[in-house]
Parts: sequence; structure tokens; C-alpha cells
Amino acid sequence: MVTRPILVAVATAAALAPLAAAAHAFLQRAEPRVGSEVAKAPPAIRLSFTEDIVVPFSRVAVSGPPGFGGAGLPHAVAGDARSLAVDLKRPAPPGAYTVRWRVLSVDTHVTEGDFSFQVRPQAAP
Amino acid sequence: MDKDMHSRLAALGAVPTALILLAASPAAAHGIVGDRFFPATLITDDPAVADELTLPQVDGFKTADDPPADQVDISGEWSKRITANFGVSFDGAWTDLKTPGGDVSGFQNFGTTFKYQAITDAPHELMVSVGLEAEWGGTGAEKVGADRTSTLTPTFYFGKGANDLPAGLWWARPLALTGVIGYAVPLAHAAPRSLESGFAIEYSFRYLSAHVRDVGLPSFVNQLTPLVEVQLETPIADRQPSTGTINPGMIWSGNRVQFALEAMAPINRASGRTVGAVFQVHWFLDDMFPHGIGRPIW
Repeated sequence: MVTRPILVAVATAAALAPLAAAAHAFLQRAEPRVGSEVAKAPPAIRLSFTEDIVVPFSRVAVSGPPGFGGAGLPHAVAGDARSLAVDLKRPAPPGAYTVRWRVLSVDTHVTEGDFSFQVRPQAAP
Repeated sequence: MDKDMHSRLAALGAVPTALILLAASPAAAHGIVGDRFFPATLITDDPAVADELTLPQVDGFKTADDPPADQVDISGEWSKRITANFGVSFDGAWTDLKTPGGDVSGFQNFGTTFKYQAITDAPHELMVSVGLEAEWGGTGAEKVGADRTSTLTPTFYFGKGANDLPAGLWWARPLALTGVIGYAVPLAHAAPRSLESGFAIEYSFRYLSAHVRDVGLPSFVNQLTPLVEVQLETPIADRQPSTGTINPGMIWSGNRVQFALEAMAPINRASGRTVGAVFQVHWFLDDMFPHGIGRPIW
């Protein structure tokens, strides 16, 4: 008796699945990794999202310790519509870095977030 | 902007919208506030106003009757934003009861909920909403327990992420709490009133990997949210005990759909006999139809 309504509900739900389009872009991976500690500042920070993003309408701000030279504008990553990168200018001294991002996915949803990573002090020679 | 990007945006009709969106606040649909994503919970309503569809939700449990009956509910809910912060939901449930005296089945009363998302505080990952839930008496079948009396329930909803915790408690920052409290007022004079409350404690692996510390979990795990929901109904006038369930479970959130499974443990004998289960498929309509039915009317 209960089987038929369950089948109807599941069939209706299954019919929705092919209609799926793009969606909110959530951060999936970052390089350097979120919350990580690295030996030296990388030349660029790469952010990878769960959906294709529109890089020209996305923003990334990077703050760092005193003396940090700042970050460039976000740019696309060749062959990867879900990623963007920002180049880190020199100097990029040891300390805590915070990355604040705000991206537009191709379906026009805006999402934002932030994370930090650390650059370890240089060991004495 | 390169030529490919131009043509893609033009095809989507997205350029004007993109400019407007970047000047405005980030999207608040299905529980996004700042870095925090509040998934749709199964037993208690989340605080977000959103375009979404629950279909199906299937609950199975033994009732508190003596002797108990086996009850299966199949329910659905469609939520529609009228404006960005105000929405309406329509819900219904079909019940199948297997009793020692025979099987009965039919619809429960249909319901409508109006909800206004009053506070969306991204830096503190706080969301607060107020609403009015209406159960329309007489629209369901009395043989499965549907009341002939309509009930109005003014309701307060909240959600709060734990991003304010100190750095030493970084592992706890993915925690979030959502809750709901309502005062149910039947429209029949002598019908008893009750307090309807509940909360959910959630731990978001997505939040952990994207905002706190990427510990190298697989993508599938990063989309999981373990949670415990608690639901209580407390009679106001008489001295009847509260009834309710404690519901530990797991939500997997994709970009357009989520799947969830929870156990339903009764808090006392008056709430049920054995542990039941609830399964839900939940669709993010604003992500599936961002330029159509998934956007606010105004």
C-alpha cells in the first residue's frame, strides 16, 4: 500500500535531476592549502571552486605581514574554468597571510569566504 | 574579458545581472551567510528563506499507542521566495498506518508557512527569521489523525555559526546551531495550545576544508554534515509530558541537491516505542533554475 506513493515521489524527484544547471561556487581546494604552513611564500595562490566561475567579475584580496608586497588581480587558469589564481608580489616575508575571495559563478550566484595560511620563518644558515 | 567569456555571459544573459550582484550582498539562498552554509534540516526548519523543494521525505516509526502501529509518512514541501527575504512554503504528507485492527492511509492536513528573514549578519554567521505556520484543519483524513481544527503557529527561527571561537578551538569552528521555537494556537476554543521547539547541532566538513584547515579529506567527505536534531512538543495548559525525538544523522550536500538520513529516537514512552528513521531528498531550486522559478518573484 505504501509502495506506490513512494515510487511516485521518487519518480518525480528523479525527473528533476536532468534539469540541474550551474550552482553556487564553493571553495573546493586552495594552494597553499587552507590553514597550512609553508616553507616559503608561493609565487601565486590558486583557488579551485565547485562550479565554473567568471574570473573578470571575481575578486581576491590577500593581506600579509608588514613588508608584504601585495597581490595582483585574479586571472584565469588555462584549461580550468573552475579555478583562478592571484600572483603574490615580492617581498612576501614569513608570517600570517589571509585570503578573502568573492566569486561569481556562471549562473550569476555570488559567494564569498576567507582563509589563512602561514609562511614559516627562514631557518638560520 | 576575453571573447569566449563575453559570448558565454551573453548566452546566459548574465552581464547586467552580474554587475548588480557584485554590487550587492552575496546570495542568501538556502542558508548561506558569509562563509557559512546552513543545509536544510529534516525535522526542524532552518532559518533561511529560499527557493527549494523537499521531495520526497520518508519517515518510518512505531507510534506510542498500545499496541503500537507502524507508521510511514511520505511528505513534500515547496518553498518559494516572494522577495529576497520573504517567502512562502506549502507542505503535505501522506500517512500509512498499520494497526492491529487493519491498515488505514490518507493525507495529513496541508500546511502553509510564511517566513521573513529579518537578520543576515555575515561577519557573525548569524541568521534570524520570523514566520507564521498554518495547518489547515479538515484538509486531511481523520482516520490517520488529521485534526479538523486549524492551527496557527507564530515561529522564531535562528542559525549561528561558530566562527567567533578563538584560534585554539579551530577544530570547533565548523560547528553551527540552528533552532526554532513556535507557539501553536488551535483555532478551536477548547483545544490545547503547545510550544513547538527544536534545534540542530551541525558540523560542516565543507567549512573545515574551505575556511579553517584543509586536512586532506576526500571531496565526498567534504560535502558531509553530521548533525543531531532535537524536536520537542510541550503542552501548555495541562500537565502532559513533552514529546519529541532525538535525531542523529548525516546530510550530503551537492551543488543542487542534498540527501539526508537520520535516526528518530523517542525521548520517552509517550513519544514512541522504537527508533525510527527518516530519509530526505532536497532540491535547491535557485541553483537548478536561477533565471526562472528559482528566483524571487520581486
